[in-house]
Amino acid sequence: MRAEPLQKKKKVDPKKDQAAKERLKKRIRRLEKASQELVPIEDFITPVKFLNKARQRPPVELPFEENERRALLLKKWSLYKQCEHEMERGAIASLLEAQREALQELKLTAPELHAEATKRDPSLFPFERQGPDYTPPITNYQPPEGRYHDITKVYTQVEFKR
Amino acid sequence: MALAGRVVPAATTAGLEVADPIAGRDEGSATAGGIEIEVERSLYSDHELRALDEAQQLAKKKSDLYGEEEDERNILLLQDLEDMWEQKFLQFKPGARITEADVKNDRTSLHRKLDRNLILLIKEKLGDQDVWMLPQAEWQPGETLRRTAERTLATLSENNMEAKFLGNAPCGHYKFKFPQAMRTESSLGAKIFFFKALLLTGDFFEAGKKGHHVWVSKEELGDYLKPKYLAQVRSFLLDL
Repeated sequence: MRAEPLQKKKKVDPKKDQAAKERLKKRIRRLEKASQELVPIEDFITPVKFLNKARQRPPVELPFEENERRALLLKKWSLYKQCEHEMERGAIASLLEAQREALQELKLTAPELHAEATKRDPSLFPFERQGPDYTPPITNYQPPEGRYHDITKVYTQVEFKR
Repeated sequence: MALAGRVVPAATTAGLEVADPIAGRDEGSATAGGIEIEVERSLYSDHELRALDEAQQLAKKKSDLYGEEEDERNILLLQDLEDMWEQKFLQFKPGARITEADVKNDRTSLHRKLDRNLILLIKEKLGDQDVWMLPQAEWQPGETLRRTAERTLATLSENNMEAKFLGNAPCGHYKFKFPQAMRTESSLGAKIFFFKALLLTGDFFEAGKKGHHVWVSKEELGDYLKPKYLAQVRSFLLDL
C-alpha cells in the first residue's frame, strides 16, 4: 500500500563503481608523482617574530681592558682544555695498557678463559647511566603541582612504495 | 674485582672544579666572561622588551602628569615579577654538596664525595695478617672469570648490590708469589684479575660485621693498599 515500487536493478552500477575506482587510482598516481613534502625541521626555521628589528640590541663598545681581559681568559681556557684533554688521553692510554697486559697474562695462564674473555658482550649496549647533579637531590621535596601539556607538533610522512 | 661508585662529570664552564691548579684561579672570571659575551650577541627577549616598554610608559607618565590616569594597565610591573622570583630563589635551599659523611669522614658510606668515583675495598685475613684489598674470590674451574666476579659480588653483599659489568674482559691484573711458608709443589703464587663494574643499586646493610668495607676515592687508596698492589690497581682506575 505504502510501499515503494520495487526498484529495478540499475544496469549502470558496476560501470559507475569502476569509474570511481579509476578516478581514485588516478589521484593516487598523481600524488605519488609529485615529490614528497619533507618534514620541516623546526630548528632551522627562524620564527618570524625574531626578525623584528626592534629586537636588536644596540652594539656595545667595550673598553680596552675588558677586551684584554676576555682575550686572556680565552687563552687560559684553551690551555686548561688542552691540559684536560692530555690528562684524559693519558688515562685512557693507561686503561688500555692495563687491560692489554691483563689479557696477555690470561692468555699465558689459561687460553680457554682468554677466549671467553675476548667474546663480545651483547648486553653491554645500549648503555645508559645518569651522571651526578651539581647538588644532590633534597629528601622530602614537594614538587609544585600541575600538569604538563605537550604541544610538540608530530609530522607523519607516508611512504608511497611502488 | 673493582667496584666504582659513581660517574664523574666533566668540568663545565659554570663550575671549574679544582682538578687542575691552572683552572683553580679562573673560577670567578670564567662565568662572568662567558655569560657577558652571550648576552651581547643575543636579541632582546620578550622579558626585556616588556621591560623597555614599561620604562617608556613610566617616562611618559611622568612627563604628562595631568594626563588621564588609566588603571587598566597591568598592575604587575616587571620589577614586581622579578622581585617575586628573587624571593622564591632565596627561599629555595638546594641539597648540600658536602654531605655529613664528608664532614665526619665516614668512609663506609656511599654519600661522601658526591662528585668523585668511589671504589670498594674489603679487609680480609691472609694468613695471619689483615689485608685491605678489592673484593676477591677464587676461581672455580668450569666458570668464566666474569662469573667469578659476579659471584664474589653476590656473596659479599648477600644479593643487595647490583652492578653493571663493563664487558667480559678483565681490566687489570696482579700477580704475586706466596711467601715461603705457603708455597706448595704446584702453586708458586697467584694471579688476580680485576673486572670493572658500575654500581647500580644497593649497598651493604651489615654495619661492618664480618669484613670491614670502605668506599674510597683514588687518592685515599694509598692509605689502605700495599704499594705494588696499589701501583697495579691505580693504572686502571679512572678518576677525573
